[in-house]
Amino acid sequence: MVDNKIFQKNLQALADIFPKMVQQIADYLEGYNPENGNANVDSSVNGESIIFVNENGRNWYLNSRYNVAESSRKWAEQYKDKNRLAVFVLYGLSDGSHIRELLKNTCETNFILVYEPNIDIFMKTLVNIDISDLIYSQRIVISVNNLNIEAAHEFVTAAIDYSKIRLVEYGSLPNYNSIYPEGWVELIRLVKNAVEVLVLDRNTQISFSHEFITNMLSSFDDLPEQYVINQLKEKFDTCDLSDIPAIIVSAGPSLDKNISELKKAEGKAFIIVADTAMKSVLNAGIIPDLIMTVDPHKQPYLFAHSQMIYLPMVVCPQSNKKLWVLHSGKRFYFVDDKSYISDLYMRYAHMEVSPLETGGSVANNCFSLAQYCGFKTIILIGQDLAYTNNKKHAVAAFNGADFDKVKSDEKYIEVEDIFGGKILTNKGMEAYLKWFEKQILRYPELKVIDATEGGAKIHGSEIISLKEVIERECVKSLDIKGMIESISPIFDDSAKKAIYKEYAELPEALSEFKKKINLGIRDYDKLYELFRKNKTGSKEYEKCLKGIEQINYDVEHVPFMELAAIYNRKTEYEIQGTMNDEREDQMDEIRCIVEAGKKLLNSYKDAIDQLIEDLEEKRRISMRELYESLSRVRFYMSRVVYHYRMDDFLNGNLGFRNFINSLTEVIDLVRLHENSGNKLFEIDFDIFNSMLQDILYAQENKDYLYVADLMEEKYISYINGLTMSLIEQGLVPFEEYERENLEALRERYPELLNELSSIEFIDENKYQMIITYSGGIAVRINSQITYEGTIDPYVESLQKFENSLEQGIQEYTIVGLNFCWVQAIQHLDPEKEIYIFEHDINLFKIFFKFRKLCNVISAKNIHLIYDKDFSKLSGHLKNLKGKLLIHQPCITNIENQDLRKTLELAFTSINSILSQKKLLEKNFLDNLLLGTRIIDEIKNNLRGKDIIYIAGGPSLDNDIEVLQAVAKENRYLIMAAGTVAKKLLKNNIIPHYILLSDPKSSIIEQIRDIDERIMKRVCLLYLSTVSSSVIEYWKGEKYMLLQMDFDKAETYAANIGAELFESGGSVSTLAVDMAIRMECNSLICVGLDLAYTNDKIHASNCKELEEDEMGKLNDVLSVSSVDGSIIKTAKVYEIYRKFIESRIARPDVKMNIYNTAKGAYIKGMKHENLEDLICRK
Amino acid sequence: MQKIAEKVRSVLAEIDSIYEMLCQNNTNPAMKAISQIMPELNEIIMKLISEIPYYRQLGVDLPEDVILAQLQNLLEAFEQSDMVMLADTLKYELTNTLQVYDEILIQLEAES
Repeated sequence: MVDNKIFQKNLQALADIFPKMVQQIADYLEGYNPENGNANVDSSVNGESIIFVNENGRNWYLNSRYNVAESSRKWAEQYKDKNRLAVFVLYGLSDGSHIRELLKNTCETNFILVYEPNIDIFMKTLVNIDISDLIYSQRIVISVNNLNIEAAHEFVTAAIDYSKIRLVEYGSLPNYNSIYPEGWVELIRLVKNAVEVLVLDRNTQISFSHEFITNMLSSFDDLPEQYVINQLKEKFDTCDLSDIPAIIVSAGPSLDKNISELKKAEGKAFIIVADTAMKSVLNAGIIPDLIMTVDPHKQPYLFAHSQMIYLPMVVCPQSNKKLWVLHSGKRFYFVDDKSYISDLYMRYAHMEVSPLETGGSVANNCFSLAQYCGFKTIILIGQDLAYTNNKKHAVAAFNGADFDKVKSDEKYIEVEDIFGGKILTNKGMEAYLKWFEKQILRYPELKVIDATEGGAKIHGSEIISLKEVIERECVKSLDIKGMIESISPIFDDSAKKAIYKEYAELPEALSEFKKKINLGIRDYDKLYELFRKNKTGSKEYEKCLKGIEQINYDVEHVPFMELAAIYNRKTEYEIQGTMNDEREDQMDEIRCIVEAGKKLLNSYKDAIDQLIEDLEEKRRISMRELYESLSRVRFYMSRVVYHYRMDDFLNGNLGFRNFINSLTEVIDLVRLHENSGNKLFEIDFDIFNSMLQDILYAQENKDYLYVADLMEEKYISYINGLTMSLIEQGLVPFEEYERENLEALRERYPELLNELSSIEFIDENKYQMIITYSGGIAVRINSQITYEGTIDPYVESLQKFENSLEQGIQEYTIVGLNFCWVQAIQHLDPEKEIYIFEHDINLFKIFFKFRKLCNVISAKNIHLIYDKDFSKLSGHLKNLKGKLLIHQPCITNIENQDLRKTLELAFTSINSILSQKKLLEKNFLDNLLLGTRIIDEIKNNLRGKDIIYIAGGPSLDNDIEVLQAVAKENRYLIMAAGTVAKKLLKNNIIPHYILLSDPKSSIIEQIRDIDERIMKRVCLLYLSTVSSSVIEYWKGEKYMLLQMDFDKAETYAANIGAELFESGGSVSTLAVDMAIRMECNSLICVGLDLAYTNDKIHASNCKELEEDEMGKLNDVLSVSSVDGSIIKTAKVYEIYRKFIESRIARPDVKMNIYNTAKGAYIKGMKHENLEDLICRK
Repeated sequence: MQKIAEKVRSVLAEIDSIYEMLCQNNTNPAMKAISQIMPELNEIIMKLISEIPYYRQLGVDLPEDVILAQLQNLLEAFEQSDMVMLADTLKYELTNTLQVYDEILIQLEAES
């Protein structure tokens, strides 16, 4: 032990001011040998003691060898005139003379951290130089590397608040930063991290102030019945914890790796689970001792586990109140010190309830809880603090959904991982990591073990596997569950009563306090006026000062003002951020102080108003909120049922999350209703609890079908019943919806609002309002037309559009005011433009009265159009883009018969296209599955060849004999439309190819019963969407043609690099395009009449047209025939003819195309007799 | 002679401000300022050393080895970025030497 007077004097000063440090020095001195150090003492020319250190092979003096006083004075001069609240962070102690000079140059309100990186320098100074004056100054904190580095962390945390972020002055004593550059960087980083935490905290406080206050006000009803963490500590204080570790379980991705090991620690460790990890732990069959949750917006879904209900939980007043719905166990509160709630505990339980230190994450709080309860060994698991394997959480946390993956647009930082490599993390997790590292330094008595087995390295922790650490540390049993179970609530009945009374009277107390604030504002005004008049010595001035001092003190110290302050965070931070800025002169300074003071007090007044409003709101049972929450529960249940029944478990699970979150809202409201003295209706609260239990149990067992059954059979109808009864009893405030809708209309559709205003009343005989089964309002017109479904029209609409909303279509035009359709489309794709036309103004009136539609009205992409005679629709349809949807009841509701007929026809046509499209898609996929060869493979067989294409027009009968002759030769490739295949075979004409294009399954009749040997001689060419039954049936070669304007075929063609064909709507139009694209030498078309040649529709023995095709032929037109006469044709043939004419007129057509039929004249084709043509060629 | 005297005075003035920077640990500006006066300082010291025999004849004895050691200290401190040593060498060693040289130059100027 060193023994000299200077050392003793210094030590005494330390003992008086920093007693902990004396013990640390004593511990250090146990193994201390002055000869081993690299620091030494010398004297300056002036006889002053100075320190030098031998580093890097040379001696470095840390102060002048000639004139210590002068060089120290010069050093400190740079800090003259710094802000009176500046915080100094200095690197190096040296002989103390620099610091002494600095003290002279700064004020009493400046605090100084002196960080000495070399403990030997510190010891040499302590032994040889009197620095007791510095220690006693009480403005300095000395932190020494390898001795008490935690003092630096504590100083930074305590001395720098948000208002001082810009007032931190850094300085290195001469040579320190050159000799020990790493320590200098670390010191700056330490401060920077603390500043980042402050900024993060500020942002959190501002962003979540609403959630904070909502949860805090709700905790008023909860905490009188509950417990505090001090009670846990009291229990643990009676135990020997030396062989009992605390295990903190977080939801990092590595948790999946070793969670099963944790089972062995049950009963031998204090297992605390951070909220998100709870499901993983319970699913692994482990019952933890405690769960902790602090996040004000933690989703209830994360807690939805049947075994969670009775587990003890550690919470704070800001924790999400909705979680209490899922939890009936004990809740142990911790609270911020100097808060309203801590004051309540002090007054009614005579207990100073402890806060818990945190770095921002719940795992940080768990760590603090373990440390607070007296555990000396803390084991961390699932504490990756990084994106291990690109994941954020353990699998069970989010039921395995892959939305938990790292997003490419997030910002990442690289940190060291436990294996010595690098791993990605983000700013938030880095802050939590730093916090752990800081705590490990601050509490050297703690043994911190990181058994995560992955993730970022937590410096200062021991890295070891969970299996090993459990074997080593969990060696003694302790009945922690029993201990917790034996704890009684903190408040007795009389205290509870008093607390509830105080809450009830809080609005009144706040209103009274507001009056005091008004006086404070008046004092500020008066003070500035007196200052301007130079009356600063007057009694009045002094009175104003005292008044201001008092109100500012009260604002900060009256406990309930802490609640109001939450609303005020933004203004507070704004003022704090500028309050210490330098001012031009005294007048300017006073002006700024007065302005800032008034601004703050005014903001407190506003905050009080908001607080009173929220307190009153909390006591009101919002029927609207209940009605909407019930609607959400029903909606999500319907979605879950739908997805689970479709085996779509991913979307089902997502829906389940939302269902749980909405259900907790409902239960919370129902409980509030049950506890209120003013019950508006009867509700069976137990049903909700059993609903939760039943469904959660089934969900945990992944019995998804049973979840769907339970919901569908039992609970959806229960919820529907409740919503219906709310409406029937007149408890749903529809007038609020109407008011909000009209307000939104005023902004967006003032003309429509005018029209609506002209309707004085609704004819209730014509328009009957009915309550839907799902608790909405629907309309029936004249007891005949139900305007939307009466079961659950929104869910039905969603299901209707879910599988039919086309990606490529950006615009939807809806005829008829079907708001469920609109909302469903909007829900599925909020980007789509939607135009709604409705001719009946009364329907607008009704829907705006009973539905919450302000979002629809305000949405920029939704256009509501009142169209009395559908003239606006007519204009719109001329430039129609996208899809036209017609709401049938709207058509039925049209009184003008002609108009109704036109729209009905359009509706029929749209339906036909829709059903056709579904058929095409099905056939395409089926055909792909049957194994596909593409026509491109046989292009060489067709290129340069002369083709005879045979269609089924009436002229075919004339050419049969010639064709028989041609078929015996091999000069031509014969390609037959499916319709004529059997006729040709009957006439011993075996075509080389049969071409099919029809998607309908009946097309099989065209080839049914063709001999298998014949099939093997003929090659089938088919459009990709042709009926798959044909493809399956055909036993010969077959090749697919992929067509344009069918997205699936186009995508497939693009993927395999295949040719696309234009089908033109019929097999003949396809044949023409195919011959062109296959680069045939010539094409002779036979039987391609495209008209009623000789008043016949088709050749003899060709397949009869189907009924719907006959319909297409009803519209008879007259056109020119090949011989110049007029011939009858159908509209559909005209479409095909025009297609062919347009196709063969294009520049890519190099071949001759002939037509031997006697039907319609086809421009661009050479019309010749088949026999003449064959002979000539 | 007048020219070298001006240089000596200008370097002495510079040393004062450099000393403050060094004491305040303003490493970069101090090192930059030192590197700027270094050629002139070197020139002055070399000239002084070359003139030592002449001054000795005039009865002024200047310790050549001490002056060379001061220059050596300055170079070492500069190389190591040793702020304390730089400040000491400039302020308490070379400044004295330069002041003596300045006095000699004043005297010689007066005599001529």
